[in-house]
Amino acid sequence: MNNIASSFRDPSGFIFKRDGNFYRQINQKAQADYDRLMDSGLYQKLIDKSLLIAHEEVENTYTSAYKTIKPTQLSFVSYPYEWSFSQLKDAAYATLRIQKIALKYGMALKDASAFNIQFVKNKPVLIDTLSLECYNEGEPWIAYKQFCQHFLAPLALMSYKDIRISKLSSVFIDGIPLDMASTLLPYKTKFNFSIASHIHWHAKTQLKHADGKVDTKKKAKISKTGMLGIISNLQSIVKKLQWKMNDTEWGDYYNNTNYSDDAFEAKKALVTSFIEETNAHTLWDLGANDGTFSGLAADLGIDTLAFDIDPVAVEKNYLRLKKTDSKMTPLLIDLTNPSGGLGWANKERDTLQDRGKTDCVMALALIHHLSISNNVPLDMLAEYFASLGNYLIIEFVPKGDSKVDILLTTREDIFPNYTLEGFEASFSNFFTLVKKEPVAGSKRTLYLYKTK
Amino acid sequence: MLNLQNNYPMNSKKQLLLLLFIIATSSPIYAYLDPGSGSFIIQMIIAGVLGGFYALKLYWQRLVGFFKGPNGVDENDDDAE
Repeated sequence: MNNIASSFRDPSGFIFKRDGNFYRQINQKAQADYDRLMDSGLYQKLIDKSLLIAHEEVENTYTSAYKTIKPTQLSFVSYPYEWSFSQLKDAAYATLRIQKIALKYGMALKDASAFNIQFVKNKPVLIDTLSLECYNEGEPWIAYKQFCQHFLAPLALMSYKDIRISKLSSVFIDGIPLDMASTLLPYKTKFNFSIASHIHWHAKTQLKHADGKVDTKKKAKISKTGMLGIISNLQSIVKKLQWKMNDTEWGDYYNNTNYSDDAFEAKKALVTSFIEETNAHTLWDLGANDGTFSGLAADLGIDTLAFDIDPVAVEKNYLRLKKTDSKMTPLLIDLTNPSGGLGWANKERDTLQDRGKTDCVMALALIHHLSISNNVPLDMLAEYFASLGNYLIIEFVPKGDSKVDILLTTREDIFPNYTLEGFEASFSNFFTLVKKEPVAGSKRTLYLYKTK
Repeated sequence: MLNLQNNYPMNSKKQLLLLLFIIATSSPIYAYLDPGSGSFIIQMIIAGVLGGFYALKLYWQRLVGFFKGPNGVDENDDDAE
């Protein structure tokens, strides 16, 4: 069996890889659920509303299968701790919409994990077709707690407390525990009926009945209207939660560059020509900020990821892009501490490297932040970038550039190798130079490298 | 806004009055998650109140929809069909 390492919990089926493609097996026991999804009209409805990933049925690989389906393949899988506030919020709202629509067709979500949502052209889409199971009126929503932990708790904490709490999802991979969220949220949230019931009281009843002495399976009965009332209320609170963005140091970055307008346009033209030369289908723009340069790749029809460390940059980018049909997806990543291997055997959630290689890595106006601000030696930088992609477009920002000088004003210059020659020497260990050009109106040089 | 069609069996009076917990032989839940009893209990507690509000909201939208006519359908409204 070649199951992928994150697909083992649900006895109804699993994902496996064959010939470079991902397939989902529907086990025999899930026959009723799958048939209902397809025959009731729910599948088509969710496809029409762009809420579920489309699939085609293919021949079975294993004898345990009822059916095997091939979902639309994704070029990249992102995780909730790599999302901005609004990405998580939209993913939460989509999950609730799916549950609401499913109930009309006699189905319900059996799980509500944020990992089941992926962004396709910046729209949240459910990728786990097996999440939908037959619903019998009277049953409570089994995924309610998971929804509150994966979605509501982090959104509330990011809204009321600190945006960086989204990173907690990489520590607690089944969502933020409700008792922890309850402790961390401000006292005033106890007077908000929604937060109070879905988080505070929810946490208390969890603790109180952890010994499982109450046999709620026999007693729990919730009408469909009651369930819809809960879903509606969750939708309402998710919609209301806002993040007041205080501009970070990167907020208005492009208003404070050292480029004139002409020079900026010239740089864009130069970068575009370098991108075209790579014939890339996928591109990762590291330190993308507002996505100006990532946009050049996206406009060429390339599946582009605009990575940045700043939640404000990712958020602004996402809010702008979600109204378009762009091939650019913004994501949050700290290159000095990128997403690690998580979950069982550290293999359920992949590192950034594991999800590569991309055709082309782009690192514009970035190197000085890693080399100087973070003391990463040029050799190690080169090695890491080489592990991420097949081509590299990188801008060397030398000492004497105003941005580098700012970084060196309050610290000793302990970077004797940080020169053009030092840079080229380090990178030639891992790359072959294709071309290099000075960036007009600056002291910088743009390089196009091919990974060895 | 909303159209006139409504899929739900509108025994809303019954549901609004229903605050009793009924012991039912509900079918076994086959899903693999274990949310714990607390999660079911909180749902039972809030479902009554929230279900009531929801039913009221649908009534209101039905009323408004009646006055607005069939052109007032919002295709993004999942409460409608």
